[in-house]
Amino acid sequence: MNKYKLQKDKLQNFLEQLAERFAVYAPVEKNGITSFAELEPGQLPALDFLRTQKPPKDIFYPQTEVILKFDEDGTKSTEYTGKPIAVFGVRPCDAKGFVIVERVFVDKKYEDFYWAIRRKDSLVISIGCNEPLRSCFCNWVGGGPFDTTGSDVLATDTGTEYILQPVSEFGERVMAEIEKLEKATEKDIDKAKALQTKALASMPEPPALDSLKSSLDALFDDPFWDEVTAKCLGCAACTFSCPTCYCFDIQDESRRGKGVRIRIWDTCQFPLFTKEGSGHNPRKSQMSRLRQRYMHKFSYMVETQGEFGCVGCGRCVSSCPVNIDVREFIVEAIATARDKGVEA
Amino acid sequence: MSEQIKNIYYPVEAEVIRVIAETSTIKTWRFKLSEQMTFRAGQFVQLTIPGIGEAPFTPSSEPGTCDELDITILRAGRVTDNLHDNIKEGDLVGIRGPFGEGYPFDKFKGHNVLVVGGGVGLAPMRAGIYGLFQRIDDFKRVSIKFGARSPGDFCFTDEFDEWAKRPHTDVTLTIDRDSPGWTGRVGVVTVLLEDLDLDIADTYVISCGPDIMLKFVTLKLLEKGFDPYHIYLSMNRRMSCGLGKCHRCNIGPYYICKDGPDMCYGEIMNYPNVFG
Repeated sequence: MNKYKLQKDKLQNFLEQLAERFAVYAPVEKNGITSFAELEPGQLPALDFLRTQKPPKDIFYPQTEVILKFDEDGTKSTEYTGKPIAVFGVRPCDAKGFVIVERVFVDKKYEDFYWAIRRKDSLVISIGCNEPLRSCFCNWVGGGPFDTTGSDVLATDTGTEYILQPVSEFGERVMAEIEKLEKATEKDIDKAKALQTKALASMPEPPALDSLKSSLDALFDDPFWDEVTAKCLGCAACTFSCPTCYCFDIQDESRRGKGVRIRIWDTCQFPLFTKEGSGHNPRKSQMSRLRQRYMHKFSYMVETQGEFGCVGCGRCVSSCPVNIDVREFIVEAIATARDKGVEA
Repeated sequence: MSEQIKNIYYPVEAEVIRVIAETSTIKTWRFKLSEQMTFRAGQFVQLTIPGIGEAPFTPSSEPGTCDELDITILRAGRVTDNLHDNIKEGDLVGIRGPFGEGYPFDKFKGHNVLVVGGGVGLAPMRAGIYGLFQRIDDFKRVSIKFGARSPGDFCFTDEFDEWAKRPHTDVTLTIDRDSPGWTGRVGVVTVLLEDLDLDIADTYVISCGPDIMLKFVTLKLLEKGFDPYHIYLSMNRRMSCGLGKCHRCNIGPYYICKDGPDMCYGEIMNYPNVFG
């Protein structure tokens, strides 16, 4: 596939061309919070930071979405009817996050309508990470600062330009249709490759996680979990900031014969999440709830998806108010299982 | 992705055509569906009261292709309270589904089937029982054991005699505490599992009831020598989507909604918190 070069001073023109056929989402800073939003005409994305505080999953899976409306005429669906969505400037970890959530929302049995409508004909242009943060650990979980999973185009930031490498045929087609986009030269491509190699080399060597799943399975009833949970507040900042957490609730709101059905992000960290009508709750303690989160990502999803349900973005590390670090948990779990001789 | 994406969250309209009081806290609603539905024994639907909410129920009427559907519901929470208080004949609600896998009756072919139900668990069991009756000659015997708190807490009492007259079918009842005029057994439903006259190795079990009942039924069955892979439990978990997306009903890597709700005990027994 051809590679392209986009001068940074031509970015606005590039995004305007994309906006002719796509609703273009990119990182923005608003009220001191960084997140993804649809760009206003003429607005440039905020690209002077690595990852947004809020994960980009809300582009395809809004935090709150009205899915049905009820009134005297009956029930109507209120799905997204805008242009196909293009995401510009997502990081490789988050692009991989889309793939992991999609495996749940579009599985062999059921296709999640509201996710699928937004994902249809969408384009993902990611920007690789020249200088991964200290909280980043994509290379622990099968990713990397220039991993292409989930991207249609991967961009490398050389300082004054982006070298655009199409990953999918769709990405190639869209790039070919952008006017005034230069072809990248061998020299440009070499420059990009050097940056990619340097970025990966800058990340500390990851531990081997081959025995993580079997260690966790073996430790399920171990007091180890009480230590893991000891300082957890159950605030769920980790799940809401996670690009692969997808739990939701469905609630109705109504007044005087008119109402709406809303789908809203939920979290396995709250006791109400599993509390049944009878009052019974299968996950009564915070220990059982944090354990559920870690087991889901590092054991159950290995069974259902064949890989960890974590992309190593590090948001849970930086957003936790009591400094619980999932990397410390991973290392501790493997060591505990080994020391106790319980690892399967 | 397909060109036309089906909206699995959109309920079809259903009209209440009858409301039957079963016990002081349980009623059956009969719905006329605006579109035909085909469901297998054990599968469930999501019932919408527009503007109030949605909740999952296994129909209590005969499985198959139907224009009408019965759902038997205990007053137990926000949605079900609203149903009991407000939803009457002529009202419009929404139904989507069916969801879940349902019972693997093909696997039971040539064997005995033991049906163990407690409380409002009899409601979904009724669809299971009618599903068994549809192919009764496939099974050596169908033995039905039901328990309830008191004689007044059984649903479908007027049908028990008819069920017992079906070929190689028997029905035994028990109540938790003795009551004047009661001629059946006394004690929780596990007392009916003490003196089974069935070849245990040749018997499959389906069971539905509260978590605590499922737990003690399972323990009793295992004590009696049942194969964990012969025990199918209709699991209770809070659900929202019914489709394996919202993630609240998981037991290990299984979703009760998508993979159940009737789970093979042998497959889930090594996962935590099976009975909460």
